[in-house]
Amino acid sequence: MTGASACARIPGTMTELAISTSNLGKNFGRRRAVQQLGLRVAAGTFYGLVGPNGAGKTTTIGMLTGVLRPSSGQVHLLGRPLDPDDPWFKRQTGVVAEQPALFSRLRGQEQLMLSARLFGLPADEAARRTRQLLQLVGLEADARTLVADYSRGMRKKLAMACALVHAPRLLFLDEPFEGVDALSSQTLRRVLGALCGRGATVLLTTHILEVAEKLCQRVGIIAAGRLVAEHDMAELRARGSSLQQEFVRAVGAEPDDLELPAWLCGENR
Amino acid sequence: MSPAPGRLETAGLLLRLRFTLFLRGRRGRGWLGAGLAALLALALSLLLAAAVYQLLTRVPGIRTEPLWTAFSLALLSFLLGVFWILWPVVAAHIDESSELRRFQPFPVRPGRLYLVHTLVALVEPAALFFYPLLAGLGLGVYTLLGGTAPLLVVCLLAFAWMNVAGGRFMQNLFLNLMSSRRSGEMLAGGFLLLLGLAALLPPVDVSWLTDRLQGISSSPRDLNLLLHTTRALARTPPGWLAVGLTAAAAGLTGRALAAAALMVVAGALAWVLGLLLLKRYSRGGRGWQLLPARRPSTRLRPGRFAGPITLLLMRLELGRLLGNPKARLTFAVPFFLLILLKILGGVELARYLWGSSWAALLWTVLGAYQLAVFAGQFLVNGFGYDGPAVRLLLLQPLPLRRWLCGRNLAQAAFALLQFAGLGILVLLMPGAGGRALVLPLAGFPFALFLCLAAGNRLSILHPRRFHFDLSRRDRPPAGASAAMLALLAGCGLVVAAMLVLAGGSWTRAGLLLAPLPVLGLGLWLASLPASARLLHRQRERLLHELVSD
Repeated sequence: MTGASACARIPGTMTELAISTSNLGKNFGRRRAVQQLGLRVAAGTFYGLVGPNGAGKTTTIGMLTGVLRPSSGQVHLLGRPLDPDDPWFKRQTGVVAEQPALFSRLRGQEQLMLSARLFGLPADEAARRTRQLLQLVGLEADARTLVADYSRGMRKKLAMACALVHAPRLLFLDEPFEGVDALSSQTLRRVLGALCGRGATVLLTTHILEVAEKLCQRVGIIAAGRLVAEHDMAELRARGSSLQQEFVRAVGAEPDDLELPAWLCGENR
Repeated sequence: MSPAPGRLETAGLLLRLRFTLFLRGRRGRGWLGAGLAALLALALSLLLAAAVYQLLTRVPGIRTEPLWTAFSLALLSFLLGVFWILWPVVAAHIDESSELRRFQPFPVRPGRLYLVHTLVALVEPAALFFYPLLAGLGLGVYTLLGGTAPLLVVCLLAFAWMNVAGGRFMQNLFLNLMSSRRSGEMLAGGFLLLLGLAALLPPVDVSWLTDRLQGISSSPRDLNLLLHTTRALARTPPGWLAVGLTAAAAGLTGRALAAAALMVVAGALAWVLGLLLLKRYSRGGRGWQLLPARRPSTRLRPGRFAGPITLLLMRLELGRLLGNPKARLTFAVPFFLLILLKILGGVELARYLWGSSWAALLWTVLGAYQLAVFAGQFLVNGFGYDGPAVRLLLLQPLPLRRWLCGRNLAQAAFALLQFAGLGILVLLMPGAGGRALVLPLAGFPFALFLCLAAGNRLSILHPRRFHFDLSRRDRPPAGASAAMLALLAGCGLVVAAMLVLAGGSWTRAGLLLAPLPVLGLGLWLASLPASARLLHRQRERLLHELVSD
């Protein structure tokens, strides 16, 4: 992983579980969004949670980050039972939500600076990191633009910078590359790789298998709210299999005898 | 790992953030505009403060008769407190600080966050309007009755704290109500409860006041009523200020401090309840559960999408409006105001002040308030309250004129439904009716159609309001809201001119006012092609933005 060697490792990682859930479930009324989810992610792992649309990925991240209250089960982060109001957890984690909740009336650099200061960084260090991160995510030229005027991709990049500013031990990313241009996406992947290389844990959700295949060390496949398969990517590659194949095996493929409506094929328009 | 930020440091950062957000909330108006608006509000507040001071120190009856002094003080405290507490709800105020979601990633406990926001609410420019009034009241008491100045100040500060905490509690209560899946049922329940109260409880008897205003001297019955009303007002939390001030003026330190303590405790209780409600609103349900995304109605039937395209667009738009929490709040508030007016004797006063045309004028005032809020919040921000839907619709190959027409019809239906509901409640009251009803019946549709026409253009001319996600709750541009209010004032002037021309005859006024709705409708229809052309240009711009995103 590029850049990993330049970063010092977080002490005590790799030996403990960064994320562990048992029997985790979430119901919305009568609908079961997540059921009996048992997730064990070792510290320092780049873990991908993949699944079709509506599989329960965002709900799972919501429960892991304390935004959603589980209907059943428990969440342990970094060895402690999760208390969403305890600032300790916030200081250890960084979150990029699917729809980042930023202050639209702040400028990009102000939003980042505010994040840095609220995470306890001294003003000069916060300013230094703000500059560096804005440069890293390619928002330097728009640093003084109001967040309201940012495009979706720019917001995602700013949210990523905010999540990284305090160098968290645990990073939750919900569809982080959605709307982000190819160049920035490449940079962000390098940053995440480096972060993982120094012992931080990254949990990423995506429905794009190629992203998970390239970035993650372990991948969990979630379908209809259940963890239906889990793979070590190195093992998978050694076996000559691909994530695509395992995904189809676990979730099911499109039927071969898919019959398109006649009007779609150009007849009887 | 960075150390946790200190409490004071966090508070300082959040204070600065709140002020920055507040100052930038009026984008488009700039610092000069914000300063002018603040000066205007301050001038009005100072004027009212001077009036309060004069009332307490110059009006002979109040100055010389202790019972009238006590009553005036209790009434002023009550009115000021109620207005202060209800202000966040009446202004339909939802801002970025009203939600925890944006602060969710930061290592700040919700309680501390809420405390800072409450403290900022004590000194933010919107609250500064109330302080001159409070000072006028305090100075009036001090001039009239004397007493210990520090004690008076303690009472006034406790009162301010109680009102700010109470205002935030009310705001969060309404936010919870409006965002609830069952808000319709809850609102209906609230209406029924208030209607029951209005029907079963005798309204506050204000005949003594109207008699007094007519110059009839106080009989023992009047004085007895005055005494009872003063006592009743003093028992309500806003009335505790009057108790505290009177006690402080009389040198009863213990009693004054007890009243101040009561207000502090009531404020603290409101603060705790407000925090619980805010957590519930932000995370949904008990504890820390986020309200799941609203699922589409399972009652959708394919037949619902049949029929003419304009009607379909209207139905979709109306559904979105009725599903929007802020729109529901905007819809509900005038009804609650009317019912409160009924219970508190305001209707009786209207009857006294406006004579036989009281119902028409009351309906007109409520309609004007309703339209000012709806037009200033929604019509000027026609694309702000449901960005994704607008985005989808703009990408459809629809004739934009029909699209605008469908939206406007839905907005008109929303406003007319509310107006009709208010009218029914007013007209159900005994003695309501008369020829003066032509005033609201003609004036409201006239102003509404003009607001729709202006709203289309204002919405399109503010391309920043093209929202891409629903989580944004930017306020509509202040310039656009001000333009809409100016338009409403202009409509009022036109109607007033017609009334002057009619020379006091409602029959003649009816003849003059009757063509106004047709005129409004015509102007709206005439404005549609130009608005559609403007929208077309904006669509091109939007498509360009989408492609470059």
